[in-house]
Amino acid sequence: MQSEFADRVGSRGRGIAGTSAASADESVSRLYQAHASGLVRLAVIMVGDRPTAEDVVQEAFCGLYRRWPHLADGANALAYTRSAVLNRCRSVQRYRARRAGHRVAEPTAASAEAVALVGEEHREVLAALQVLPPRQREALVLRFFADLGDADIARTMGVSRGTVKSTISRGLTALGKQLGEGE
Amino acid sequence: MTTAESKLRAAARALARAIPDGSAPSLRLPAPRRHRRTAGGRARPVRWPLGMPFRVSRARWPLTGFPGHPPQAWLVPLAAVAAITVMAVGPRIFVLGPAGAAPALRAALGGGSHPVMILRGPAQRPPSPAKQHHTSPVNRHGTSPAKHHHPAPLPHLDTPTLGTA
Repeated sequence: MQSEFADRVGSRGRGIAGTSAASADESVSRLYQAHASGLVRLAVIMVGDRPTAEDVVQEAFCGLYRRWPHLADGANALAYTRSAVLNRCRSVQRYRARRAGHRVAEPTAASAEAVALVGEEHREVLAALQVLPPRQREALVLRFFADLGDADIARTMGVSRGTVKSTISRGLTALGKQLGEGE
Repeated sequence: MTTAESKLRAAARALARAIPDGSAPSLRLPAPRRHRRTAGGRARPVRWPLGMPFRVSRARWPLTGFPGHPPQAWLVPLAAVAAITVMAVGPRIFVLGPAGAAPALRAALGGGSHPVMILRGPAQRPPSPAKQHHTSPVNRHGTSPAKHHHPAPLPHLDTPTLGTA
């Protein structure tokens, strides 16, 4: 079925040759199986509920699938997808804020579903994360929930490694204040 | 390690337990474009080719009658049935094909009642009442339909049916 799909797509002249569409199918599926859950975890923290997080990840992989022929290096696919997930999380937050009639920068409370997923004992951590500025929150989530190194975080966020380090440091300090550390 | 850091790591571990690796739903590949633009800019629907995977958004998910089953799960058995076109219209999945495909589809889907509409394919659809004169033995002009190159309905097909498979 997949190869038939590849042939059809290729024959319509959408820029994907039959073979590359088939390889995109296979590569994207493999990447999805290996990393989807990790990306869902990342998205859950960013958007607050699992169904939306799963949708965000699906959309990101669909985008990857569409853009696969234009991807210069297949090795960058995961970083590309991670950035896509993060961008879509931002879009979801923007959309929700607009719908709710709030300012975009206004922090959203940690959703009940996210709290239920990580457990009641971590509620205050999630709530404190939501209060942080978006960039600090993203850096912390990528570091601690996606378990990425500085270089990967820098590539995902589109900033330098130095910025990542300082952002994480400032984020941890701010989070500590939110959690009442040192009181 | 600061308290904030350790709390973050603990929350991350809890989340990893709640969403373990491999627990993500199956990948639904993107749909082909449902509408193709004409030269005038007007969108016209494109028939969904057989065997082409498509994505059903969460808003329309789960499909009535197929709770929790991704389209791929039942498109594969559908693909085994010849001359079928699958279309998603709102919450329903429409299967366009000859009326005779209904029993085969029902068997392929494991029997029971499914909200899959079996429609007649356009090739087998008899002419509308407005065009009946084309296929009647003698039309209103008194000429035979053969002269107008309108083929008669195929004899082995009965009247169009719209039912659940």
